[in-house]
Amino acid sequence: MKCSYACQSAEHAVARRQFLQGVAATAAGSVVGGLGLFANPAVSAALNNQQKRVVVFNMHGGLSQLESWDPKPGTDTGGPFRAIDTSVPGIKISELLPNIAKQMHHLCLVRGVNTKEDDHGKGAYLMTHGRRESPAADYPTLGAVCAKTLSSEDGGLPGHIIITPGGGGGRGNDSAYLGPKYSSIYLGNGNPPSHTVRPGKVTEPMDTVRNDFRRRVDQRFLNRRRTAVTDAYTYSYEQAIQLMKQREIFDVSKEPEKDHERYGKYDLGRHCLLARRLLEKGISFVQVSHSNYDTHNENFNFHIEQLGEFDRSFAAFVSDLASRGMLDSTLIVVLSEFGRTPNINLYYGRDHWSHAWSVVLAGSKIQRGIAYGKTNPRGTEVVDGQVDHANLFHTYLQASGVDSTDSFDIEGRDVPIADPASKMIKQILA
Amino acid sequence: MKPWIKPSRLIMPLAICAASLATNANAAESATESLHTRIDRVLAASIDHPVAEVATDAEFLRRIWLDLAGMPPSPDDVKAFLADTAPQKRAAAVDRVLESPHFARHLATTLDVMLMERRAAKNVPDADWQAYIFQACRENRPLNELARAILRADSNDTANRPAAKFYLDRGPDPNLITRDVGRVFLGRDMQCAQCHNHPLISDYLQADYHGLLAFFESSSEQKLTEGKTARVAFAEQPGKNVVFDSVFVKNDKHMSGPRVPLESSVNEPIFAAGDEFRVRAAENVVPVLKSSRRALLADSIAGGKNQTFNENLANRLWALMMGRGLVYPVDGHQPDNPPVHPELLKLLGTELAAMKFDTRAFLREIALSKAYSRSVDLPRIDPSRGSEVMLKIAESKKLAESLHAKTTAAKTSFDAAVKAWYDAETTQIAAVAPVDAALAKHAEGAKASDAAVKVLTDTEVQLKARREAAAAVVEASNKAAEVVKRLPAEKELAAAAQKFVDRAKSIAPEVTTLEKTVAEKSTLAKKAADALVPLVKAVDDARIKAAPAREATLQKEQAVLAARRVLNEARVAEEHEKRRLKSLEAEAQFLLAEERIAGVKKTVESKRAELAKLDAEVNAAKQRAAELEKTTATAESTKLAAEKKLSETNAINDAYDKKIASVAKAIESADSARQQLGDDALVNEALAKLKTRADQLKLQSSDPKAKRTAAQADVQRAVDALKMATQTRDVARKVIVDRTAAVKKAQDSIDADDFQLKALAAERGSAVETLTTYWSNDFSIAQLKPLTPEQLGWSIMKASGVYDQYERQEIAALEKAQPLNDQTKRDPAKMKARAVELEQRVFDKLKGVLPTFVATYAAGAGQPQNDFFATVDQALFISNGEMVNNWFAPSGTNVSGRMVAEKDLAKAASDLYLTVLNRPASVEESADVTRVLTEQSANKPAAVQELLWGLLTSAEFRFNH
Repeated sequence: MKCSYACQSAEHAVARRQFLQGVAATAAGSVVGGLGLFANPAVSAALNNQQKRVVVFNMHGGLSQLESWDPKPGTDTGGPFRAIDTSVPGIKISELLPNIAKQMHHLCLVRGVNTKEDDHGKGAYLMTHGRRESPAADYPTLGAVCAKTLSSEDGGLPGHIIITPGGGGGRGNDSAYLGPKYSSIYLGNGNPPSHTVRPGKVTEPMDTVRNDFRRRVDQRFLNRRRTAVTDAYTYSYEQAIQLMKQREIFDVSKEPEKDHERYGKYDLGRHCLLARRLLEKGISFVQVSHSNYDTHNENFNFHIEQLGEFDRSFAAFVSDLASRGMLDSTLIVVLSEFGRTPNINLYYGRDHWSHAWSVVLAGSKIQRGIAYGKTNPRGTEVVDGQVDHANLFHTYLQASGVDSTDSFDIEGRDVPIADPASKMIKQILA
Repeated sequence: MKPWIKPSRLIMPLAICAASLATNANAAESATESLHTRIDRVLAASIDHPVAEVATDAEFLRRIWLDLAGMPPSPDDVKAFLADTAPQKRAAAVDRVLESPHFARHLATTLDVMLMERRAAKNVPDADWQAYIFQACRENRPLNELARAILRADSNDTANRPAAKFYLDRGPDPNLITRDVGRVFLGRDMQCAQCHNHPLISDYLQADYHGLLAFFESSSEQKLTEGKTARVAFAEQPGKNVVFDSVFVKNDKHMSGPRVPLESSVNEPIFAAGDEFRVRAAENVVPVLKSSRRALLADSIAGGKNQTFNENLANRLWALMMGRGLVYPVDGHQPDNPPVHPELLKLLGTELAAMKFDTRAFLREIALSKAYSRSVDLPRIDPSRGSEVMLKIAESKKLAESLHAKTTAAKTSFDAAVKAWYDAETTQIAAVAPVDAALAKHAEGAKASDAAVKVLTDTEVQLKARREAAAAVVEASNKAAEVVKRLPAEKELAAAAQKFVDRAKSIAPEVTTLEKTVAEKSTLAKKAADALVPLVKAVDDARIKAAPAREATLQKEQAVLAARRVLNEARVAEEHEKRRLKSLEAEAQFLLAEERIAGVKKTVESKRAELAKLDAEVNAAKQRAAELEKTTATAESTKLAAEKKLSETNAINDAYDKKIASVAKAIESADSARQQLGDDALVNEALAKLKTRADQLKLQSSDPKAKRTAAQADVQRAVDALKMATQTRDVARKVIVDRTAAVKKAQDSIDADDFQLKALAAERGSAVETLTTYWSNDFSIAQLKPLTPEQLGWSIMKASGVYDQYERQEIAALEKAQPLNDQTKRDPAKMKARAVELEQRVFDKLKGVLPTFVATYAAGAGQPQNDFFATVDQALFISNGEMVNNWFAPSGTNVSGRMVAEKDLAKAASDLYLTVLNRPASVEESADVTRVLTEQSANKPAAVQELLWGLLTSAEFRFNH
């Protein structure tokens, strides 16, 4: 008896097998042709055709747009830093981002963001959910939506990964009505998911014995009664075995030393390199956080320090994705909960400011090397191309090939994927 | 369809319920009949297809333990129950579990999850709330009373303070509260009706949502400090009408007072402006209203007469036992999603109220029903049902059509009633505006008056203090004068006394001034109060003016309610029939697949017989051909021999012919010589001799000639015989070829049938799946019930022996603290109290591990908690988590320890199955365990642990069946 829900369907299995064979053939072909060095991009390119992916860099606390994407040098709000030329003539960004400036031709700056929300929690909510927080309704995060819409269902790998700056692990509570299957799996400080190593006293042969026994026991019961629910349950154990076999995917130390060097030997560098590894292995959604930009005091010193890290790691990340041919299928988003005030306070700090700030996108169907939207000379308000969290959320999905105006069918109830009152930013989609 | 869009959940079927409308006739009889008998009677009338067999004793025992105690039975319980031969043993077991302290625990957990949906504590600590719920369950407090306490709770009532958690930990946000009161207490998730009528569920009106919202809209959080502790109350102010409009329709303003969905507006007493409070709000004082809307709601919903509430609770309790509500999802009550057995839900709702919401008694009745004790296996279906089912399908289609016509007509009347209602509302909105304006003015006046009163009070306080001071000074002055009198020589004292005298003089005017001020402020306060009087009257007047408009709206509301009842009944009937049709179609699908399979099987059988016949023919032909080959060969060799003989005789004849010819030639030569020589004697002699020789030769050659003729005839015969044999053989050969082709054709045809059989088997498989879904959803076979996170946690602790280990420790500790004496042992009440204490002690020791299970197996906080899901992190947790894997290790008396010690492997297998799955192992299962243990005899402790793991992770363990 066969259950007719998607994750078990034969079509899926076949497609997956063909796909894997395709990958193997491409890679082998490259080696035969004496192009072994490029085998890696070839694999990535094969992946590209199959699956879209999304990576979010969450600049926790509120990155200053004035010290990054939308500098206003020489004004009373501009602060001490200069603006520098980038690889795209006419677009300048802060001198704190010299390496990223060289990658500008891959990026799309969205400079007219106005989210009208200066509270950390609420700002973070609306940026990751594409909707304003409402007590009577809970919505899934971008990661959960991507896991549901972009992931293939038959692998053992989770589709929604959050690399946290600190420790911790387990499953997040961020998928709302999509169900825990699409909730984030935390990689605390970049460590592999919890419980992916067999307990010491369970040997590998014994693990096989116990799983074989479990399968026989199941078979006897399932002969009596088999449903989608029992299949989902027994399948979760097979997935666990798959995941344990593929545990190396989460081990960033397997990446070459020179890449560790290039990305920077600090947490963010490691996390960015891990993100690259996870995306290459086919995980649909990865979020990296960089903490903490909430610079009410000493805004400028903090940004020198923080952006110094970010500039190096992020530039290496973008450049790698581009050279590996992954940028066509991977959407990169750099967001915060809001920006920072043009006004510089008494403590050389900047406070919360959601009325005119910037978000950066790259990859997938996003246009390359452009700056969309404009703030006034002092950076106090948006004068052109104003967008908000909901427009951005639609755009993330549209760029990844998901029709954001469609709905999820939740228990027979149509729930719009993105805020139906809003729409995508057409101007930045290729 | 995109792969990530879930197909709509199938609307599940049910059988006709019209047949069960026997209620009136049987009303008198029903009164004496137990509820479980009535449940089964209503179901029997409603289900018109076979139902599952009765579950085994072992399955039943495991089921009631998990459903009522939240944990599985011990292996000893299972053995005792299986050995028990009493006919009423199932009922007795149900009573035992209901009497056990685990029942209250499990019910409390269930209610906690149902009410709070695992939201993080915000204003009311979880421990207080859980203790409150647990106490209510232990006392078997009527469920509606608990609901009432929750719905009226403001946290001010000390006895029910934790009951305010429902509100306070949901923000408190009026919209979230509205949604969840609708879901949890009324079974209606009206979230989408907040901004417009529900787009998909026509019975969820925006007016319902806002009618419910009106009960909470005037309540908000109030922070209180009591000494050093701070707490929050849900304080209520006098309520107003809620005004709303649809985001879909422009200029469509509506207004609602407090109204429970499907009911009339609440008849709310109206107090004069400013006279609404019993206790007015102040710092650290929670206001008390003369008429609280939340109290009105509590009484209206949970008073026992609201069938929506009663049916919602009955449905949730049914779902607790049966694994699925009669209405599914449990917060999806609406006529387009009617109960799978509408009459049964009506009965259960009514009876729950009649039983005064006695949860324990109600659950007991469900547990004793036949419906509860069905097995999970699809029953055998008689193939002869086919024609009956087809007939029913045809009838059902016709009926659905006529029901649809009824619904359409009812909808037209309903729409008209709604339009009239909305029009009346528009008039009312205008009429009510002056009331609101007057109220606002009054509020302003009240504020001024309050301020004036406060100034007056403050001044009075000052005056009182000053008066007291003055009195003290005078008293001190008199006392000092006395001292001076007694000690006249002491100058300093005299000076001091003078100071008192001076102060007594100076303070008197101060008092007078303050007295004046008080009088002034009093006048002002009175003035302000007087100023309120016309404002109060203005409100009253405005209300009187607005009253007719309000009356008109209420009248239209009544009309809407009546039309809605008719419409909803029509909808229920129609949807119900549609579902029944689907169920019938699923059964027909199954029967058709069965029939086709049987048909093909029969064809295959006859084809196989045919094939066997053909095979035999081929064999016979082959045999015959083999014989004919032999005959042919013989003829061939006969022919060859004859030909040889012929050629031999030919040679002999040829030799004679040659001799005869040469003699003839010699005669001819001799003749010619005689003619030339004349009559020469010698020649004559020679000629005569030659002639004699010629005659001799002629004579001699006659025999070989005859032989040759014979030989020629022989050859001819042999050739003929060979030809004959060859022909016959060729015929036989052709028969073989033909028959072999026929065999192949027959075989191909059988292969094609086998292929078709496989396809049909798959078809049958999916038909079985669909049918199983329909029939388990109408409770004719049992549901697989996924264990809740808590049930799973306790089950693993029980099966692995952790629970028993702690229980033994606590028994010992209890024995040490309060040794059991014979008198106690004879006192059932005391023994029960002891069991309660023991359970509490073990629970306290082990409750710390539950959050791990909840974090791993529960849906997100604030999400519905009854949907099953399986994720890879759960599988990893139980596969590799140190905590649980340590529990599985053999130790002393746990099952893995016992298995290690047990030499008889079959006994070990039996112990394992009784402990983990609470049933005996089958022969095959026992052999499986024995084989693994034999193969792993070198590391038995590890093997035993992993066998335990294998059963604990099996689907059978994960689902209560």
